[in-house]
Amino acid sequence: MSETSQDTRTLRAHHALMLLPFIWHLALAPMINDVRWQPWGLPFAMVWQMAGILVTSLIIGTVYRLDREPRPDRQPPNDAQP
Amino acid sequence: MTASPLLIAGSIVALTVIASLWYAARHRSAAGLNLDEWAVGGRRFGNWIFWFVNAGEIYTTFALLGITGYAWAFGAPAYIAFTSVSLACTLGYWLMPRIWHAGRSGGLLTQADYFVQRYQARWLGAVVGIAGIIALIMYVQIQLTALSLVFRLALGSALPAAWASSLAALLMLLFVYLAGLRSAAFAAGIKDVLMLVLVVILGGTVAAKVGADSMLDVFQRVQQLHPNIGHFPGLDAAAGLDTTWFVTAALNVALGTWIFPHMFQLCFAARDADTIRRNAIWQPLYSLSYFFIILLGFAALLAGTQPEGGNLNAVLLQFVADRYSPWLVGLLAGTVCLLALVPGSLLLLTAGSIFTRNVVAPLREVGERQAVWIARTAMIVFAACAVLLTLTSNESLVAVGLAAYGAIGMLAPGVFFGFLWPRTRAVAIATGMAAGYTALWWAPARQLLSTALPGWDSGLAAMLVNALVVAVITLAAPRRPAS
Repeated sequence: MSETSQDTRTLRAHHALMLLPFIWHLALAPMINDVRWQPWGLPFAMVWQMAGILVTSLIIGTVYRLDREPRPDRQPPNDAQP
Repeated sequence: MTASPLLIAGSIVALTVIASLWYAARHRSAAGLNLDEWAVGGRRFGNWIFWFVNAGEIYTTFALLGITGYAWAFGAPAYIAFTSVSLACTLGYWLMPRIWHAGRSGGLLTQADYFVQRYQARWLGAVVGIAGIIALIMYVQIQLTALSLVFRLALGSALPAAWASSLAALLMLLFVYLAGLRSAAFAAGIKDVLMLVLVVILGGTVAAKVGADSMLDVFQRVQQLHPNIGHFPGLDAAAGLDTTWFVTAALNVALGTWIFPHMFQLCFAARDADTIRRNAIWQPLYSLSYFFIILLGFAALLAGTQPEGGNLNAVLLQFVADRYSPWLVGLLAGTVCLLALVPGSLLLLTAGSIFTRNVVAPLREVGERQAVWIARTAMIVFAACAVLLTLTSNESLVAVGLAAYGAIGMLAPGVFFGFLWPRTRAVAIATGMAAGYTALWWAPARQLLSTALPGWDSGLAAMLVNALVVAVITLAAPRRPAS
């Protein structure tokens, strides 16, 4: 099995992307709440939160892909063990 | 409800239980049933089964009955459902593999085991175990409330509430005794499929039932009728559910999700850390289905649904009973039963194993047979406590849920600092917990805190107090304690 769990201890630059869902869903929520635009007749605050779900999935997926790329600063990734 | 919905609901529950027991029996290891298999599924859960148990523990009656009721009564505050899974998964992508790793390398079975190992203190394990059990009982309360609502719908409101929730607890205990994590996982899969089917059928046909042209028209009409419904603070400004509440409560839910002992323990069941990470990518998408759930709440409002006694937890059941054909009422009743039974039994199972392993075992020698006996007796007591809570509280399922998150959040600093800050010690964690619970449950402290942080979710405010106390004590303590 490809068990790439060695990296559990190190945070890398692209992990900062994981702040985005919190910014989208929470930090921007008070601002979004004042927007009275109704796309497809739906409350914008709700559409925003739903879009946040898609954004989150996309971001976690991106981070996952970046995590699997070999790290430039380390030579052979040490998941060669049986 | 007439005989036919009752029959449909009953067969759904019975068939699911039988099928899940059969599934677990087929997968039982040759060595027989051991604690590892019962509690953490032999640590072999791959992508699919992990997804379903995970979804099974996230999407409970809190989601279906709680959120429809919230949408019906308050409007926008129900959006909290959209944030809970995606933020929990973002955090979980980072946190869960760490929990998994600790569990695998230390052979851990419960969350309290982690505290014992990380902080080298069995007493802390016992304290954390009891705290976890209290939060679990509060969560069981949600499931019992929902189950007894279904019973009262099915058997008539002449059935006293005490009887309904005792019956619900009995059913839950029966399922726990028969099932382990693996059969619960299977039942969770069935109930998830049922819930999706149900939500799509109800959502797809709801417009016609309330005289709207389309799903979107339901939203338009309800906003014309109640111009404030779509944004915070929603329909009832006096309820204090503004954006400050939303942000702090959603953050508290995200921080607390994996701290619940059953969710923590679930991480141990994964086959590898990659399974967990992949799950975190896809799990949030599932929560888009809350669109239909909120739609149903709004539709019930348009339809003028009035649940008995204004009980907002009963809105969906009442609405469907009023407007839909009997077979759909049966499908809903059966699904709600499973939505309550499966997670509820897992909660009891977790509470029982923590009690045996982390509270009783450190005090006295416990043999294997005795352990089973203690766990089962404890589960009866916990279920009884949950029944009592159900009877004394009249709150919305969402409010009870947030209170449970508040309670479990007191263990969060111990977990997060545990992974991030090697210097933290058991005494600091325990003192932080004491301060946090005081801030959460002692009325004068709670009041003081709510004046200092107006509009905040009380759970997050108390967690902040807790974390600050831990940080101060850790910084003040000598770097290397004399050994």
